[in-house]
Amino acid sequence: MQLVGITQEQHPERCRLFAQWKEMEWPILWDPFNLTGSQAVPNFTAIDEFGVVRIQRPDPAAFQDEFLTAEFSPVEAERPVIEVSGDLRDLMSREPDKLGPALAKLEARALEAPQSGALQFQLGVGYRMRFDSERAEPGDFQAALDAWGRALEIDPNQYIWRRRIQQFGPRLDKPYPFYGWIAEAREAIRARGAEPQELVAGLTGSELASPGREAARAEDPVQPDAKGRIRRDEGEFALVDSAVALDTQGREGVARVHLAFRPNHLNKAHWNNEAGPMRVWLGEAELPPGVSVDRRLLVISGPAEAVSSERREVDFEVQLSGTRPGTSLTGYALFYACEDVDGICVYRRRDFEIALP
Amino acid sequence: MIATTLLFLQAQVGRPFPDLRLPTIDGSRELSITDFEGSRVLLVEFASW
Repeated sequence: MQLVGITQEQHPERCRLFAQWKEMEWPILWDPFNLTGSQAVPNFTAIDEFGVVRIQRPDPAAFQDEFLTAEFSPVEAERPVIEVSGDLRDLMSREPDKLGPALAKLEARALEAPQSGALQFQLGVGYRMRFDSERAEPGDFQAALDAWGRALEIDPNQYIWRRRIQQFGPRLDKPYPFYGWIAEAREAIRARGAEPQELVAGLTGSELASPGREAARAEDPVQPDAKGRIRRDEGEFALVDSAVALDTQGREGVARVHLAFRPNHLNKAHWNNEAGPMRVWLGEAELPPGVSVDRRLLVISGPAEAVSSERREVDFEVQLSGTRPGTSLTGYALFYACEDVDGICVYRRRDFEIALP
Repeated sequence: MIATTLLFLQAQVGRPFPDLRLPTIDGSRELSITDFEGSRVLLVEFASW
């Protein structure tokens, strides 16, 4: 008997790490777009040597008799072929030059069929794929969350789609820590003398967070630039993007906010890691009325190298109570950056404003 | 083979499992259940999250 897997996962490298940890040495196929149409996992299907489905959800106690040693005959029926569209293939290739055009085609298909939850879900997957690539555009992550939200509204019983949002959403909406197993997996693999599979897309705090019954309240750290004396960067050195993941169960006032900072490549800017980490402060002296966060001061450390150009991401919980429509959360990032090789190095403050739901 | 634009897989007991070609998680090749004809297969659909 042959084992074959299909994983419903946005990021295949995470499944590779899982398979490495569990020593799953059988073929596993990647289905980020939920082309199987499954509404939940896991699913087990026993298929005979003629390619015919014999048992769905086999009973382990009866598997030997009902499948392994049973006799089957071919059936007179044609095998359906599920064509994977060119845009989805191009997105799955993850080749940078193909992402934009493929996403444009998928957007057009989704516009032509606005009641297709599947296309909305696939659109969200595509946006998130571009967000995870070197061709990320501002707003990609929010566009992914919005498309997934539209998909879930069309079919609220689709748990694969719901989990894709919850992966990035607030703790109140989490059924469990999605990738809480990763540290244990890496430790176990190294104990075997092997090197763990590297992850391409970094893990966000939301993907590691445990479920919470109440939104955590921030302590009161000291605001790093209370007097506003650090020179402002208007985007010359750092670009900022944000996305807000809402609660999939409709609880108002609960969200997970994701911030992403990138050095401005047009100006050949890069992070200077020798002088210290990036610090992000939320709010001004006070938060807006009705707004609470789980942390006021967030720290994003860079790699060990003296300079780097990676996207820096951080996420936090927001809880709103009685806020006025149009309330936004301002804040700023303090960072060290340099312009070009042997160029000037500066310490700057990059302000941002996040529209809250 | 019946070509269909449907993107939903309907694996009915007693019917052939649809041909859906997907990449492997390491990106090294594409496979479909049809590539395993001649062997009995236990297909496991799951996720690491």
